[in-house]
Amino acid sequence: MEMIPYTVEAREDTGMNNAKLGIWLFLASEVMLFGGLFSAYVFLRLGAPAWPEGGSILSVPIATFNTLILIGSSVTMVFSWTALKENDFGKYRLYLGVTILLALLFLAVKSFEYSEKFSHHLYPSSSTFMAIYFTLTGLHALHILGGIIVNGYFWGPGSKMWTSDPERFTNRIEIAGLYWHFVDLVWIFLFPVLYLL
Amino acid sequence: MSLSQFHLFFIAASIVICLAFGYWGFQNYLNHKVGGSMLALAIGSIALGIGLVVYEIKVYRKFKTLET
Repeated sequence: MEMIPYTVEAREDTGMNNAKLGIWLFLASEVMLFGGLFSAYVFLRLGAPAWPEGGSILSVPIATFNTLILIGSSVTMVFSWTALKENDFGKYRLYLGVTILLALLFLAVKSFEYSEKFSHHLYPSSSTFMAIYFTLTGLHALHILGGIIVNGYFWGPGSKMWTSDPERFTNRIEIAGLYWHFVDLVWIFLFPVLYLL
Repeated sequence: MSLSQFHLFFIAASIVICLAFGYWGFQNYLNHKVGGSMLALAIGSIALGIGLVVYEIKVYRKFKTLET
C-alpha cells in the first residue's frame, strides 16, 4: 500500500506539510462562515432603530467565566503538544484530558445560560438581538462540541499512533491545536461584541 | 503558521481583551452603571492580563528552546 506523502515533512511548493495546509484551508472557510455572520450582526445593528446593550440582557460574569475557561483550555492544549515534543506521553494525556474537561465545562455553563434565557421566555424569535445571539453562540458551541470529539479521539483510541508513528501523531495534535485555537479566538471576538458593546 | 505562533497570537489577543474588559468595567463602575462586583471583575481581568504578559514571555522562551 502506498503511503500518503507529506504528512510530516514539508512540501517544497507550499512550505508546509499537507495536514497543515489542509487545516488552514478549512480554517479559511471557517473565517468566511463566522465573518459572514459577524457582518450580518453589524448590518442588523446599524439598521435597527434601537439596539439593547448586551450586558442588560445577558450575564457578563458568566461570559467572563467562560472566556477564562477557553483561555485556560488553549494553554493546556499547547502544553499537551509540547509534552509530545518532549516525549512525555503521560503529560500529554493529562493536559489533553484537562482541555477536554474545560471544553465540557464551557458547554455546561453555556447550557445553563441558555436555560436561564428560556426560563425568562427569551428565545431566538424574541428579538433580532436574541436571534443573532443564539445563532452566533450556538454555532460556536457546535464547534466546541466538534473539538471535544476530535480531542477525545486523540486522547483515547487515536493515541495508539504514538507507539507506531510518534512524529505523525505529534503533527496531528498540532493540527487539532490549531483548530482549537481558532474556536477559542472566535469566542474572544464574540464576547465583547455580544456582551459588552 | 505553526501552533506555537498561533498560540502567541491568541495570547496577545487575550491580553487585549482582558485589559479592554478591565477598562470597560472601570468606566461603567465610575458612571454608576454597574456595582462593586463588576469592579472586582475588572480588577481581576487587568491582573489576568498582566499575568498573561508574563506567560507570553515565558512560553515564547519555551518555544525557542523546543525549536533548538
